[in-house]
Parts: sequence; structure tokens; C-alpha cells
Amino acid sequence: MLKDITLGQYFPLNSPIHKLDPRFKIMFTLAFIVLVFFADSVPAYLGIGVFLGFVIKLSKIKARIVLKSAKPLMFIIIFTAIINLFLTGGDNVVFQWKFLKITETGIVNAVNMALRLLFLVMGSSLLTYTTSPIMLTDGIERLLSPFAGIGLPAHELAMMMTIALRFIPTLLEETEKIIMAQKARGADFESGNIFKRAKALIPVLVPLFISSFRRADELATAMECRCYRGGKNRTSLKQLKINGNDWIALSAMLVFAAWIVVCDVFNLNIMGY
Amino acid sequence: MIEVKDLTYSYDNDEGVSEIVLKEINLNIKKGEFVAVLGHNGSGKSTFAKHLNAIYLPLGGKVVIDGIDTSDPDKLWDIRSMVGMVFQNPDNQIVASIVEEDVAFAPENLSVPPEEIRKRVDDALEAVGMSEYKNHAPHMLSGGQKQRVAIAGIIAMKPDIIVMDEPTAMLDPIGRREVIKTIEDLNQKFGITIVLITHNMDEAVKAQRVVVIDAGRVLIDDTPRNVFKNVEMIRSIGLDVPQATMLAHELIKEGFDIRDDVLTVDECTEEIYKLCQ
Amino acid sequence: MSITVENVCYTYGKGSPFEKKALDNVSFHIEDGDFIGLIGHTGSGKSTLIQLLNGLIKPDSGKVIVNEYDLTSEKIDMKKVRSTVGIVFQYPEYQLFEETVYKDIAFGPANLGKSDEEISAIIEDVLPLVGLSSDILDKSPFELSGGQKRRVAIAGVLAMNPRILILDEPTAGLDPAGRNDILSCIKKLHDKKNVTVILVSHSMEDVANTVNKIMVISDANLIAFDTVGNVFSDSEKLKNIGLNVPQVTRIVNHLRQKGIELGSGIYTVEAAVEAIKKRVRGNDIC
Repeated sequence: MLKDITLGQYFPLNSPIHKLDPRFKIMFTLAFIVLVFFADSVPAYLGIGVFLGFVIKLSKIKARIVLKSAKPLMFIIIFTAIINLFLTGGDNVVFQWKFLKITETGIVNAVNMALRLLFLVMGSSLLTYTTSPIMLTDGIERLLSPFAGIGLPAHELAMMMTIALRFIPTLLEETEKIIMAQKARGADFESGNIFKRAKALIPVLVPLFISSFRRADELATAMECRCYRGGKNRTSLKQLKINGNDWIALSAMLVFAAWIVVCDVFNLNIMGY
Repeated sequence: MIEVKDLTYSYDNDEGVSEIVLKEINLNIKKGEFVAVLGHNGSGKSTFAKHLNAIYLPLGGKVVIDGIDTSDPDKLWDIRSMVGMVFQNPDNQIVASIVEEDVAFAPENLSVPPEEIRKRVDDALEAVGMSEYKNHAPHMLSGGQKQRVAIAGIIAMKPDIIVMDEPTAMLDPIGRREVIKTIEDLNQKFGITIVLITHNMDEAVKAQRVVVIDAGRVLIDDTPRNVFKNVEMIRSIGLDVPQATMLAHELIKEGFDIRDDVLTVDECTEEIYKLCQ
Repeated sequence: MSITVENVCYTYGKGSPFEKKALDNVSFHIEDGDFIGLIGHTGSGKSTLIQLLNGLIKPDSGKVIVNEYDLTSEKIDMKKVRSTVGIVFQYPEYQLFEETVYKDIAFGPANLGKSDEEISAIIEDVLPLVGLSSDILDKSPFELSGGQKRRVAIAGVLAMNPRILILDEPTAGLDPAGRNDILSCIKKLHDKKNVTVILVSHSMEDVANTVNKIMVISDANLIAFDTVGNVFSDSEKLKNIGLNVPQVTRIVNHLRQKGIELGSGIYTVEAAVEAIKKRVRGNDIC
């Protein structure tokens, strides 16, 4: 059934990575993404590989699953690599056939981009794999809250995410029911060209919209009844507490960042570029 | 506890004509009472319920909760936390995707300190018998369980009064039983005043007092026994009586000499037994 | 227009952690013109069963034969099946989508390829069956009252002229007056048009007052399929699976335990009154 799809692909395990403060995890992920784009040498990539491998091991999530996360983006990764391979200029031509030309710089760029994208996808997947949607929302809210002063609706954004997460399964279930009911009235969703099929969805979408508005209206009343009046002065059941593990993780992250920066600054480049 | 004086409410319909929904309703509900408000769909009973916690404000007359007038804008949140409200569709009252997070919603809004929220959440889930589901996702629960979570979300506000607007209408018989049992517990064990809006006579029978609303007015206000013995009148306004009451009523019409205020299966059995002796 | 179900099994979410057996080797036969009450708890397999009966889902094994159509065969023309077996789902008003009541009721017959003239004749036919008048046809279905919306939705299914009509809790959420109206519409439909009806309900009183036969499903199994009197006479069996019998039947059963026999198969107020009259007045004469 549609409603059984796990959202955000969270794997509820008990690992040190799962227990990290979501704010730290979000910041680490952002830092990781930036650092990946700094890396352009073999030692730097080795560093990233080792670091990522270490985190995956700690998270108790199977490496295969993390690798799989890149699968939906494989096309983009390969496409980017090919573009880089053929469209980078340079002198050391390795291969030429008519206008197609592959240079050494091209090969290096292609490998660079592919590796970066791969690492990037794996790193950010680790965040959603080890952090429940609600913790993620909480973390984002806390991280953004300093900017509330300059008009960033941190709480509102987080509340929207919470409600969306809550209602997606409900609406999926409802969609299934409506499709079933319209099928029983002879609706045909499977045949015809794309326009015919799009038109066939109207009997599903209209009731779905109407019911979503009704739900939104009822939910708003229920929230008012429960004294909801925006994010001001709200407290929270779950306190985010920074503990020893978070500081250890931070240190590890700093060492990792230092390694990448060192590789970059001293241009530790075996290939000589 | 609840004082309703000459409450009148109307709205302008599409043609701009004013339609009266509630007309001069007078009602007093004491602390700890379990009152059922009975009426058919469109009788005004839901509108009445929404006046009890200032979702609607009276156009005429007033509603006073524990000495506070609901139209006092400074006291709005006092009223809302004192009078909790549970609605028909449990799906549309649950905000968070984890049970305990949802129960915490109201205390969070009321700026309750985190340790106190923890305690309230645990107590509330205990009171509705849903403690073991505290880390579950609401959409995986049954209708009755969801509605109990919604009730826990209200109890966590520590209200004196809970108004329930047809809380069992969308549930199956098992869900109904669970929710009605929970409501009775809240009233008897925790002394919470209950106002149960319903059109189900078998639920109304459980209350200490039944208020029948029809066309925006209070028609009868009495014990379930005295209300349901007016079988013809109850049926004439589109409501029903329990089958046991109906049977006794039909027997009286046939000229048998039995009690006219039979409510339950056991009472009815007893009367017929005496008849057959 | 009979229905034959043979050794049907159906499992949900096969291979997933949510795998659940919904029907386990179920067989039965429904005669043309039967009026059947289908009772059982949420999750007992009722919903699966009704979806099987018009081919919305196919069984894992076993056969579903509606009239001459074998719903389990690959070649079956679904349009024919859908026009033979109509389903009114729970809260059917939530599937209304057209701008006018007329267009919404027309959706089903239009899908079956009926012409405009045929459709307008059908709608004229169907409206009185659900107790609606023709002046609402140009209104938007969304400005109607709850009870009216539900009738429009039922009319939308009736417009496909099904010979077998399945209704899943058609009275859910309605007040007693609305409930009685809908039930008497269904009864009329069965009596006057000889439509085979399967009524899914949680209310034993409603079932007792309307249907001829009862089908009880519990935990993916068909545990009883018999006349109303016979099913309700075994109140222990129903109690064991958490279902009840009508209050009147309970009263009769209690009296039996106290040594007063009013007779079997009493499940309506009228029948009980008659039986008590006979018993008491009969005694008077003696």
C-alpha cells in the first residue's frame, strides 16, 4: 500500500551517529558538501573516502544501502562526467576522433566531478538515513531561529514541514481510495495518450484538493483549540542537548576539514596539476 | 462552571438572509457533570459546542466559563486551555507524525517547561491507555486509537472541561467502545466535566444529563431516563431511542402495564419477565 | 445475476513487512435478488471482499464468477463488470468532483459509453430512487447538505444500472433520520427493481431491519452465511468474535435464560411485540 512507504528514508537504528544532535549533523553535512568541492587531489579524495567510510561504519547502516542512494542520480553523475570528459580543453590530447577530443585535463575533471557528486549524494543521504524527520525539522528550526529577527520564518517553516510529514501518508491513503471509487464508476486511468490520461486524473485531483482544504480548515481549528498562536514563547518536549559525542564528532570534522584544506593549500598533487 | 445565558447566533447565508442557528439558549453545567447534547445534523449542536471555548463568540447573550466571559479577548487562551475540544475526524486534529510529539503540542504552545511537558504527556497517554504507542506514527493506528491520542492531546492541557463534538461518528463499534470508555473514565476518575455532542442515543444514555437541541433551541434538559421516555417526540425530531426503550414503548401502546422509562436491555428484560410471570 | 466465489485467497503487501492475509480460502454463492448484510470488524477482510466482487483487485488464488463473467480471467471486459456490479464506498460524497450534480451523476454512464440522450433518461430514472428532486441537477454538488451529497453519490453509482449493488456503510456519520432515509431507499431499490444488494454495516439493528441473509467475516474467514434469524440465534459465536446481536435479540435471549421462551428468530421490535403478546395474552386465556 502507498501509505507504507517510509518517508525521508530514515533507518531507526541505535548508533552514535543517530544520537548526534541534529543541529550538528546538519552543519556537518553542509560543511562536508563544501569541503567535497574543495577537494581536487588524490590524497583529498582518499581523505573523504576514509572519513565517509568511517561514518558509515559507525552509523551501522549497510554500506550497500548508502551506495544505492546514488542510484537515482547515476544518470546526472555520468552525464556530468561525459560533458567534462569531452568539453574540457587542454594540450595533452589523449584521444582524438574528428571533433571529439579527450585531454588529460578532461579525464581529471570528469573523475573529479563524478567523485564529488557521488560523495555529495552519499553524505547527504547519511543525514536523512540517521536523523528522523521530526529531529531534522527540529534541528532546522533551531538553526534558523537566530535569523527570525531579520524576518526569516523559522518556526513557520518547521511547522509546515511537520504538518506535511504528518499528512502525506493520510493523503496518499485518500488518493488510493478515490482512485478505487472512480474506477468502480468506470474511470479508466490506464489507456489513451498522455492528454487523455492527464484528463482522467481530474476526477481524482478535484476531490483530493477539496478534501485537503477541508482537512486544513479542520486542522487549523483544532490547533487553535490547542492554544496554538505561532512560534512565540513555545517550549519543546524534546530538548536538544549537546553532549560529549557531539564535541568528539566536531573534533573529527575539524581534523577532516584541516586535511582537505592542507591538501588544497599545499597542492599535494601527485598528478602534477 | 459553564453558564450559558440567552445565547443567540445567526449567520448570513448566500442570499444575504440571516439564518438563526441558536436561539436564546440557557444552560448551566456544573463541575464534574457528564452532559450529552443530542440533536440531529443541522440542529445547531455543533455551533453550540464551538461557543464553549470561544471559537465562535455569541451574537446575543453570553457564555461564561468559571466566571470568565468568553468574549473577553484578554482571556481567550485561558478559556481555550480550560475548555478542551475534541472533533469528529481524528486524522484532522493530530499535528505531529509521532504520537508523543503530538500530545506535547498543546503544552508546548502554553510555554510549559520541558520536564513538566514530559510528565503531562506520559500522564495523558496513560489516562487514555495509549502509553505503549507513544513512539508510533499516528497514521498506522486504528480510528479509535487515533481518537484516544487526540483526547490525550487535550488532556495534556489540563482542562477542567472537555467538549466532544461527535467523537465516535467516524469510528467502528470497537473504536466507539474504546472512546466512550475513555470519556467515562475521564469523568469518573479525573473529575473532568464532559460535554458530549452526539446523535447516538446509546452514547447519550451513558450521560448523567441529556440536553436535546432542535432548531437552535433547547427542547428538553433532563436525565436520560426522563428524556427518552418521550419516544414520539424524540422520533419526531429525527432522533432515535434505544431499541430496549422502543420495545417497552410499543408494549405500553399495546396496553401492557410496564414502566415507561426503560433504558437498558436488562431493565427491559426485567419488565417483560414480570409481565410473563 | 448470481455471484460465485470459490476458494478465494488474498494477501496484502506480499513480501513486505506489512504482509497481511485478508481472505483465506473463502467460498460462497449469492442468488439473484438476495439482500445480504455483510458484517465483521474493520480489518476482517470485508473491504477486500467487496473490491474482489467487481474486479478492482484480483485474488491470489480461487475464482470469482459474477453472472457469466469470470473476474479472474485475463480477457474479461472490465466495463461490463463495472456496469454489472456497482460499489458505493464509505463516505461516497468525497468522490464528487463535477461542477453540477447532473454532470457528476453522468460520469459513470458516460464512462460506459452511453449517449447524451440515454444519460439524461437514466438520470431522470435514478433521481427519485434516492429521493432527490430534479431542481438540484444544476446545482454544484458542493453546496448541498451532507445527506444530499451522499444521495447524489449513490445516484452516481445507480446510474450505471448495476444488477448487483454493494454499499459499504452507506449510513456512516448520518443522524438517525438520514440513516433511515438511506436504508429505505436501498430497500425500495431491492424490492422494486430486484437488485441484488450487499450491505456492509456495523449496526446490527440496521442489518436486522433490512436484509434477508447475513454474511459474517472474521479474521480473513467466512464464518457464517445464513438467514438473519439463524445467524442471530447463535449469539455466542458472534460474541466470541466481538460482534453483537440487536438489543431485541439480547432481550429475548436473556428471557430464555430466565426460563421464558418467546421463540427463535426474533430480531426486530415488531416481531418481539407479537411474540410477547402471544405469550402473555395466551397465558391469560389459560
